[in-house]
Amino acid sequence: MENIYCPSLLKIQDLTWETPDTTSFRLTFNDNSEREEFFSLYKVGQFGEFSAFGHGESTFCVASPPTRKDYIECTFRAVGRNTKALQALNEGDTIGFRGPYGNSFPIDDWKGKNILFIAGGIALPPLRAVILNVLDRRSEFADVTIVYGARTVSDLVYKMELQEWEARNDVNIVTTVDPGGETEDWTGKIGFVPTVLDEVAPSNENTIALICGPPIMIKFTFPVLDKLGFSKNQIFTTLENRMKCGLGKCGRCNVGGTYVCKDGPVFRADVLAELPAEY
Amino acid sequence: MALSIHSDDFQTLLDSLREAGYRCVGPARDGTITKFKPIEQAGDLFLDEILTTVSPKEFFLAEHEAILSYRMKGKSDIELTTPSKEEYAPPTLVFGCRPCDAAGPDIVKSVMTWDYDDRFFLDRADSTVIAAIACVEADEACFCTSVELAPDSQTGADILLIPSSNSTGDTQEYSVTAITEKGRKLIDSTKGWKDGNPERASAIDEVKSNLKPSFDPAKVREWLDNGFDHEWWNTATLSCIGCGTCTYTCPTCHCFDIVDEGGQSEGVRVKNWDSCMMSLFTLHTSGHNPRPLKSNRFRQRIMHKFKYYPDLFERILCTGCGRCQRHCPVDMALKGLLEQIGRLAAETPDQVAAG
Repeated sequence: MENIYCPSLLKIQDLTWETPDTTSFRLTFNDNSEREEFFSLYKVGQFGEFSAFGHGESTFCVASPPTRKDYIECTFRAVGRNTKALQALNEGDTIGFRGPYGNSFPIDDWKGKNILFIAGGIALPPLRAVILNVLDRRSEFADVTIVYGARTVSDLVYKMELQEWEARNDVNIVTTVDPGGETEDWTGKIGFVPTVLDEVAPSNENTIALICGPPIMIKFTFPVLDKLGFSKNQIFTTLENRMKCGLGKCGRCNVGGTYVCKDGPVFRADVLAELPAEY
Repeated sequence: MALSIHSDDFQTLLDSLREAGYRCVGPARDGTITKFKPIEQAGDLFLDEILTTVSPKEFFLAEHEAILSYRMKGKSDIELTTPSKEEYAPPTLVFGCRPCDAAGPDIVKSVMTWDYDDRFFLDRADSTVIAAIACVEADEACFCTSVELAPDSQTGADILLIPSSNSTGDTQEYSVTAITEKGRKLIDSTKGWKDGNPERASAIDEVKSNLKPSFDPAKVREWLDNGFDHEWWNTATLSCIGCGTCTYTCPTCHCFDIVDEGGQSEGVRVKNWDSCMMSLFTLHTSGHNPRPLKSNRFRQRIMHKFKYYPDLFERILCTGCGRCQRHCPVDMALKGLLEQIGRLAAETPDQVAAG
């Protein structure tokens, strides 16, 4: 019988420091058949368990899209024991990975629609997989708008990609930093994400909004979306309750009777509104 | 053909089990508590207690299960090894547990096979035969009849021993029923069993009729459907000290943690028992906790057992064994709380619906 807890082994091909405490890995599967199996299952929005052996496992969303099949990427901040140990590794080192788990963003249902991404700080990585997926299939979607903010300029992740997206004429991107977080050469906006979103005022018509960020940002962004005429069934988010197995067995990620690892992590806002406040 | 076994023949059974390659675990004293331990001498079996302190859950869900070992090979390669079934799941007879304990693994199997199969649980369950003994006694903490079980229920058991009226102070004859093929096979390959159909002890039916259901799980589940935000949780759980004894002694609590033991170059990944009664259980790295209060955690435990699990698998995640009450240091009785919910459901259905 298969051991569902046994990870695949992945090699760190590329390591990028996004901020002073946040790192991205580009990872390649040691075993090509495991890579093929992963990509036969993987849909954008799913997550996995990433481990530095000797330290445990951490749950991250896969930050690269299923349209890029040679590797997977993840971005994480060093906060706990395992994330610190992961961050101490070097290019060429091996880590453990289990996944893909959970549900996904139903992007095939969004063909022909405008897509609005709203993200704050370290919460861009889960949406970055969707952004890249949408950009890799750009012709299938209408307008793409990205509103991304962080506390300070140095807290913005994917700085290279932000520039690339800015340079494209088929992406409307607005970056912002909290007041006081700007640098002298900062050319983006200064202000909190909800305020900036209100200024940008994207149309709700034929639009799907994806939002991911700290609870405080989410709390103040929903009223803005409401004001802009978005109904809850146009808005999607992704939850990250604490998990161990990712497989519906260890018993801790549930929000009421809903298991984030199996019924989530992606939730439509009207579905989320029906759940008890246990996330 | 009707079968029986006499306690005088337990040693014969134990000896033949060993020859047939089984280890036998049964109720035995362990310091000040009782638990299931390897038994070689019939005299070590302690069958007089209503229920052991600890359930035999550990033979299905080990307290500490090595799920993987890792070893650095060279500079950056790693070798992973999954332990073999022979290592962690030797052929085992769990002898002399109560029907409530026999039901535990059968109930937990639903989540352990939910889309993904947990091989550690399944291999252990596959290698283990359960011979349960029907109850001739119950105490005020017992409530199996409230959760669709009984002092003589066969759920989860491979073999059921029914105490007969033929007993003296020290010896006891049992009628024996092989419930599963696995149970039949064990009986056929071991000794001590005899033909015969001794008369069932009347005490079993007395226990059964005295142990009236004290709440209706369907009504409890209905109340829980709308009762998430009810203020009752805050007052009902005030005396809980969050020690988790209820979850560790429970035959159906199965929540676990996964941790690495060892260094970076060599070590073992293990699955350890965990408890939803601990605040760390759900604590996010950010410091945010979705269940920050004791009442939130107690609600989770009752909801999981009597609503979420039944919603998913049509099984109540409770066998009514009563250990959570018997060993609770502050005498929080799950049975009593469920009775309270039963009364709340009956008294104020409209208020409940309004939250």
